[in-house]
Amino acid sequence: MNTLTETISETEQQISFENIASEKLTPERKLAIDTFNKSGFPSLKDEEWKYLDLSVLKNTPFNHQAPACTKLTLSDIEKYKVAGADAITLVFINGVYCPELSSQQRDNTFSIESVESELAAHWFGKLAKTDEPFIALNTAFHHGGLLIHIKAGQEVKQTIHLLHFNDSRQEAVAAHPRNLVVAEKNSKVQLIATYHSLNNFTSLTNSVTEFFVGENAFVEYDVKQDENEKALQINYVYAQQKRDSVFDISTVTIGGKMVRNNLNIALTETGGTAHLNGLTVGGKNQTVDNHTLVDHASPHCESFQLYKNILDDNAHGIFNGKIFVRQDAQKTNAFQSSKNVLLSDVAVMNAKPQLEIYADDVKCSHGATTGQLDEEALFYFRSRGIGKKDALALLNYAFAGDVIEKINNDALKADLLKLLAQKLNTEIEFEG
Amino acid sequence: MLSIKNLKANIEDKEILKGLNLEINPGEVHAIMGPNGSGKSTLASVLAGREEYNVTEGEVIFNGENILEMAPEDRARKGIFLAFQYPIEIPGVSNANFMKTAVNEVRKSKGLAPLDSKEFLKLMREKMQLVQVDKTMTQRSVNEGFSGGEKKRNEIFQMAMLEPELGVLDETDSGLDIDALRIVADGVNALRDGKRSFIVITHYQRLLDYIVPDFVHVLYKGRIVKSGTKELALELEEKGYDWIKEEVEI
Repeated sequence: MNTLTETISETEQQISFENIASEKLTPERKLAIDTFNKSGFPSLKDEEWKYLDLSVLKNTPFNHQAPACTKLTLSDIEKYKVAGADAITLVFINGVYCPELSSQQRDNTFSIESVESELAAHWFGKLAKTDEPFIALNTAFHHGGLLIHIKAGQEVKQTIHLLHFNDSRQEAVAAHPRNLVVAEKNSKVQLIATYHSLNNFTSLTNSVTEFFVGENAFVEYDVKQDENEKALQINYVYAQQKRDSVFDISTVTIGGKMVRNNLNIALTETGGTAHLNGLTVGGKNQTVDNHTLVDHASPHCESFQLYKNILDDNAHGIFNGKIFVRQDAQKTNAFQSSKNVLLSDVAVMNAKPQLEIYADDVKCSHGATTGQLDEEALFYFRSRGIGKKDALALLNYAFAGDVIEKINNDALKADLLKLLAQKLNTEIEFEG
Repeated sequence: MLSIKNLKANIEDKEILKGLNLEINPGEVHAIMGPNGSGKSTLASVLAGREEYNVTEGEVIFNGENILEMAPEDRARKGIFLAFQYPIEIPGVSNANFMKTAVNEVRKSKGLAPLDSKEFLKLMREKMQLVQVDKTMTQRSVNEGFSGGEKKRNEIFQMAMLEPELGVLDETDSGLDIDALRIVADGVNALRDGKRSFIVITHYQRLLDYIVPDFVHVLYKGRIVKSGTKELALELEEKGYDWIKEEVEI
């Protein structure tokens, strides 16, 4: 059987010889493959990966260069759009931007171009380094990604929706979406990324997104992960924030067999604010791992993290949140909360908050709680005529609601509440 | 309407109800009084279907059906409402959303179409007046941060919304000042329509000045040991429970 590692080295040979056009075989890609082959996949012995079982990922022979834009039509895409959202939709299939399936750009507050362009080279890979094995893989194989460039002083009125598909109907596809968002000084933008998959085979989506948030710029990035039960996803998000900027990210994970999110926020100048929110609703055979790192490198910055997991059946949730406050980062406010509910006896949650503080005038706190649903509350609902299943769903919604409430987009909120109700197997309509 | 016969129930192997009998006809208000630990709240819990309580003997027939095998939600849908002694706080669900779900679940069980938002709001506005519940209270999360009085008013508001046939009030008066008590009692009285029945469990005779009962029962050591009319409550207020205990012990 072809393991992924073997496929990689094969591909390396192909790159060296005939299959890839020579202009595409950049020294960076070659170097990235070399770097990956030296390190191999992370293992359970690696501190940052110790709770996550990657064996399915390691043992699946993926095609890393699957065909893309011809796979789906406009009508296939339609139902994955966020109903009622005023959005510019950018469609990516197997990581490749497909203009013919995407909205035509409607204003001049921002521009899009290839992530492989000369302009993009100013930022590409400055935050996401290839010493992380999956970033090395992405750097080697990414194709067709975008630079989204918001101009200084501009507000993008419409939401930019990055709609990702992994099409593994014919074969096991490893997609490597690679995108860059640059929000120049005083700009404002909201982006949504949704991830979907079509599977007869196991799929891997190995996504890397780098954000450069300029001085006094405001960026909101909301992620919905709704791939199916044969889908694996590794997702890296990096943000570098300049003075007085705001970066807010909410990650809602409903689908996928295994999802690993890595958020790395660097508050590099004074006055920056970051909100990191996460909601996982995990069921049968699902593993969802959220790793966050907020690096307070400058004074007067604030970060707030709220992560919640609802885990049923044999779902496995992982939260590892690191806050790093450097010596110069006086007057830092950094808060982190991980709250989890286990709905079954076999669901597992590993929560690991970490604070490293080298400044002396800071306010930092973290807390992690894991418990069962409140039986008394359940009885209260049932005593009003609400059936057990719906009462459970309503309580879960009550638990999860404040994460969804943080999203500043009513259409997306409604979409997520609908998805949540579906996942919780109820016909009750949740209200935002 | 409700017929309780020889009801015995225990919790964690401790027998609390030891053969309780009670008959309630439509439109009647029955007050149940008794010293601490006599089984008053256990009775309310058993009627509502709290699962920690284990019924070992007897039956509870409500409109011809034995309810003891029914899930709590089915009892509610058939028209039994428990006003909790300690209403629980549930952050994250608005009162209005909660009530809309409950009202429509009850309607569904009766084969009625669910109320749309407009019809629901109309119903809610009408019932809010009964217990002086204002709009902000319906928009807030269920009981979250409510004062004691607000929580009890909210219970009566829920009862008004669900229009049960039998309301069981478990020490709804405890912890209320006289103004809050009056509001709650007015709400209950407004729901007395000659058909709806009530079991009013209380520690204090004071409540019965406002919700005037047809019958008063004394619960002691898991059984009803004395029944009478509202004058019995006054007597209890005056003399305490010792004379009853003595009567029973003899």
